[in-house]
Amino acid sequence: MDKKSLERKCLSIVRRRSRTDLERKHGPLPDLRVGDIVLVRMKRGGLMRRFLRSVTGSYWDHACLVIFPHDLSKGHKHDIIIEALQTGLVTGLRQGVAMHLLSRYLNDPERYDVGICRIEWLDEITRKKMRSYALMNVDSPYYPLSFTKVFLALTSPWSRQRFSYRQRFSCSRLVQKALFEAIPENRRHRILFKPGYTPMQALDTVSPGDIARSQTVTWVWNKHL
Amino acid sequence: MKPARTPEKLQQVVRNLKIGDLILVHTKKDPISSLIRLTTESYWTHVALVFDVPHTIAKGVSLDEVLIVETAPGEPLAVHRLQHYLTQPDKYDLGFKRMPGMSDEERERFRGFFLEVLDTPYDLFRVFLMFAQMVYTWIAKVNVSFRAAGQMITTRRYICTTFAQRAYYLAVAPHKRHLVLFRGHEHDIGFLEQMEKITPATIASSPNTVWLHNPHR
Repeated sequence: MDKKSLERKCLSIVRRRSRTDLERKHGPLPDLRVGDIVLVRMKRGGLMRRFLRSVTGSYWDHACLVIFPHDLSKGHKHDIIIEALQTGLVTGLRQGVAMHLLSRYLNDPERYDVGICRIEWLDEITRKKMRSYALMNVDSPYYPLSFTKVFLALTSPWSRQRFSYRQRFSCSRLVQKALFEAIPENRRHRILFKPGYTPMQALDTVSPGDIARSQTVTWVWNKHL
Repeated sequence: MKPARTPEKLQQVVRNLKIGDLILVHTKKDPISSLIRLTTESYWTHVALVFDVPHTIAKGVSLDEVLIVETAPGEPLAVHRLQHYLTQPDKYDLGFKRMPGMSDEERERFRGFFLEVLDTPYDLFRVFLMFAQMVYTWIAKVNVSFRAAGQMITTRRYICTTFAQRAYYLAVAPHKRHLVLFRGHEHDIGFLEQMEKITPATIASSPNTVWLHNPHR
C-alpha cells in the first residue's frame, strides 16, 4: 500500500469515527476541494434571516468558501472555510471576513443546515489563485443588511425586485469575487452566478440563493435551492 | 483617518517574512498593556505568528499581504492581517524574530498546526494564574512553584505565547524539538514550564531565535 492510499484509509477511519451531527443526518461529507461553496441556513438567525430567505426565494441565507480542505499530510484534519460574517459588538474592529472551521456548522444541526456545491471545471491553479484572493480579504468589513430594507422588500414584488437589484450581500459577494478574480478574463462570464446583470452588478448583488440556483455549480451534498 | 505610511526599512522586513516568523507587539497608551509590561518586565505585550503571505495579481499589479495568526482576550485563535498593526504606528510598535533552521516542509506543517487549532478559545484563566503567581511572588518575595499552577491549567487552550511555543514544538521533527524551545537554554526547569510558562519577554530574550527588526527585551 503506497503512502497516499494509506493516508486516505487512515483519514476515512478518523472521519467515520468523528462523523459530525449533520453528516449523520445527510450522509458522509464528500472530500472537499479548495473553492467548494458552502451554503448555510441559519435556523435560529431570527426574523432577519427568515425575511432574507423569503426575499431571495431560497432555502439558504449564508455562503462561504472552502479554502483549506483537510490534509493529514500537512497536519490538519479539519476543513477550513472563509466567510464574511458579523461577529458581534465586542470585537467591533474585527468583524467581517474571517476563517473558521466548517465543523462549527456541521456540529450544530439545531441551529444550522449546510449544503455544498462545486464548480467542477476549475483547475488546480485557479483554485489556488482563488484561495490567495480570498485570504487577502481577511478582516475586510462586513456590510450589514438593513432590517427596514429587507422588511420593505417583503411588501411587494416591485420592492423585492428593487432590493435584489441594489442590495449588497457581503458573504456571497466574497464567494463570487474570489472566483471571478481567479479566473482568466476570457472565461469570467462563465462564473457569474446572477445572469442578466452587468458583471459589476452581479459581483456586488449576488445572494446565496443565486448561487444555489446557478447552472454554474454542481451540487455535491444536501441539495436545496 | 488616513493610515500612516510604513517606513521603507520596515516594509523591507515585512516583504521578506516567512510562515512561522514571530511578531512582537508593543501596544502604546493602553493601561492593560502597561500592566502586562510591568509584571512581565518586557517591552512587548503581545505575540503573533506569520500564517501566510498570499500573493495575487490584480489589474497587473502584484499584491502581497501578510496574514498573521493570533489569540487575544475575548477572541478565539484567528487569522488577521498584519496591516492592522502596520497602519497604526502611533498605537503599535512591532518587532520581528525568526526561528532559524526551519525547512519549508516544517513551515508547511507549522501552518497545518494553525489550521488544526483555529477557533480555539483564549485561555483567560491561565493569564489570571500567571498574574496571581507573579503578584504573590512580588508581595511574599517567595517564588511560587509553577507546578502548583500547572495542576490547574489546560493544555487545550492557549494564550498568545504558549500557542507560539506549541506550534514550533509540534512542527519540527522530534530530534529537533529541543532547538525550538524558547527556554531551551534553562536546564533547571521542567518540561511543563518550558512549554507553558512563557511571556513575551521569554520570546524576546530567547537565544534560540534571531531578531529581524527592532530588538527589545
